[in-house]
Amino acid sequence: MNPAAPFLPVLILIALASVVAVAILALSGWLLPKLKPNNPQDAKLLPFECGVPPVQEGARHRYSVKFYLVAMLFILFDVEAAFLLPWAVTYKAHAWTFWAMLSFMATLLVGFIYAWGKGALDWER
Amino acid sequence: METLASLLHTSPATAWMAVKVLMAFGLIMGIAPPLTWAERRGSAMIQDRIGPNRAALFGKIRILGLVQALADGVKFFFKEDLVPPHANKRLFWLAPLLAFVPAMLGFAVIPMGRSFLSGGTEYHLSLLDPGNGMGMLFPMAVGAMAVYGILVAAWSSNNKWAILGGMRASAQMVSYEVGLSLAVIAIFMVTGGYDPHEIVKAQQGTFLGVLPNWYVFRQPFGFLVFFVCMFAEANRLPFDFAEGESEIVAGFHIEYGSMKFALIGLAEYGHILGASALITTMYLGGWGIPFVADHGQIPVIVTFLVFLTKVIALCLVFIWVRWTLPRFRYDQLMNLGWKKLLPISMANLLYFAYRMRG
Amino acid sequence: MENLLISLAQNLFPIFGLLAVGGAALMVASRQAVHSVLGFLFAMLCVAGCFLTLEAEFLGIAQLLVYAGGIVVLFLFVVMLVELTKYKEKDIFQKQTKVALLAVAGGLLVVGGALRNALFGPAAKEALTLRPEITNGAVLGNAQAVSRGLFADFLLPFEILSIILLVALVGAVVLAKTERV
Repeated sequence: MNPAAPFLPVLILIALASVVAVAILALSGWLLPKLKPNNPQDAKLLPFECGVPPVQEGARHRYSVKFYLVAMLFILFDVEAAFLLPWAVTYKAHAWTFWAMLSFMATLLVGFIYAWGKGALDWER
Repeated sequence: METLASLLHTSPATAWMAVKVLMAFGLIMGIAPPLTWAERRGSAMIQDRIGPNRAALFGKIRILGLVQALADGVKFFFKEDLVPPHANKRLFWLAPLLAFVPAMLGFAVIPMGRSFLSGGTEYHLSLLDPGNGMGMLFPMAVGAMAVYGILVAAWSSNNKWAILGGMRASAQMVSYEVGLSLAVIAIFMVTGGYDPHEIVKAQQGTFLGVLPNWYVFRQPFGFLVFFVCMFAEANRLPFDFAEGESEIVAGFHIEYGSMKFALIGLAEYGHILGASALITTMYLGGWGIPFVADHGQIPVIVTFLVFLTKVIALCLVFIWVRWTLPRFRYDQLMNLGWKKLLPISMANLLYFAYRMRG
Repeated sequence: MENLLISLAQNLFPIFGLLAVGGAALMVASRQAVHSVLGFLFAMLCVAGCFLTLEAEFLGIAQLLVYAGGIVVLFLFVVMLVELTKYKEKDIFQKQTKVALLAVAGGLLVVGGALRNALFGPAAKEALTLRPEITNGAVLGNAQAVSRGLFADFLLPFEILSIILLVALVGAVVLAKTERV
């Protein structure tokens, strides 16, 4: 609608969703608590662990490095996809780019096979 | 359109934009609560139970218990809104917002019906007009944002179950996004663009004489990958490792209650709707009626209803699958994502690229 | 109302720019690592918004997909994976004030040098346009122009890039897999 910002409707939608969410949170978390039951007790305020007292203080301990590996692999393939996107839209008109794309993808395929062989894609171990 | 615009004292373009924004938002907010009811009734049907059917307006209007959704909403508002003292207060408040906002953008670029002419200008039934340069990449980017609501909710709760659930859910979403984007690229490649209007146009007519010209038939393996990945992205069973009752109780939203929980729940159903809209547009012909090649004479409202029917049918498939399949084990999930779906979508892409080469 | 919208639409670039700077400031200033990452995320989103207002839609979306959707997730993972309760975050993250100040000064010099024509010289819009013939060819869409750059003009760097990605992949696997045998 506006040549200055064709994506303006999306911004308005984001703003609308944020306003609604903030209104709901404020109503339920700040305004209504003056009316509704509010009865904090020691046991209720403990972190929930299947009904038994927490075994270890806090929860922010070290978690498995496997999550890091997954995120790292994801980024690499995400970057690959980001580079393939412009290729995909012009491929119909420029079919000769097939081999250029294939060599790009083949290099990453080597990496994929390496990661597979090294067991980086296995969750166990 | 002009009359509406003059009533509002704005230009037709602005009035139409307001209509579209309200439609995109209202569709999700309007369908999500009945969907929670459909989920409970559907699960009851599948498990041979009755499910919620008692709630009634003024003691009379029952509509098969649909009013239950309304009652749930009221109940959520009047539940104790607890912020646990061990939580990180600010982020604990922020997380429902981070979960809710991306989920509401599901319909942002999806064309919900045929474009039409009125008073010499063309109006499009999608929030962004064609040729905006973002196209179908926008829902993909927004889908990637859904991770943050989960991660922030998990971390701020400072609860072991929450953090475990959040880590597992986000690692899963991230893993399945890879196969998803390669499947989508194959569609863009065949269409020659990523504008949703073009993609819908490219799916009109018939394929092989007997099938609708939908990408679901032209790229069945791409569809398979996309469909499965959408379940993972929406954190639905069989991939609901965010929750996993038997292991981590409720996962990342374990410490949440009241409307904060309801926002996270609404976000989940928003993602289901968004995923259904995406599948509809990419693989099931969008607002197109099967076998019809030229939609010029068909009323706009019919195309809109066709789109809505497809979306809601897919939502019901989401529910059906949830109550039919058991949950995966986490290593099986990672295996499926990285060792099966990713190679399949790569092969799918390379096959169609090879067929199109010069 | 409508005038407000239009003036808003015309001034989106400075709005996004200021918000991005605000997010970056939050990232630097906050004591909690997770808050920093969220500040970074906000800055990245606003930078994507800046790209969108400059009609570089593809770049904006790539920014969302790769940075906001991928790299910040990795940062958040790393921050969440490390056990921070044992140490003060100050001791881990804020040891390098002097080095950081030096680096910022150096970075400012480089950026200032690169932009000196645009900032101090005769203010010509072309000074900031890398390849005018692409932007002037009005027919090309954004992604098409990027594609031309990648597959026609800069094919060799593009192919080398795949090797960089490969190295990163191998590095990640080696690092994460040899730690626990």
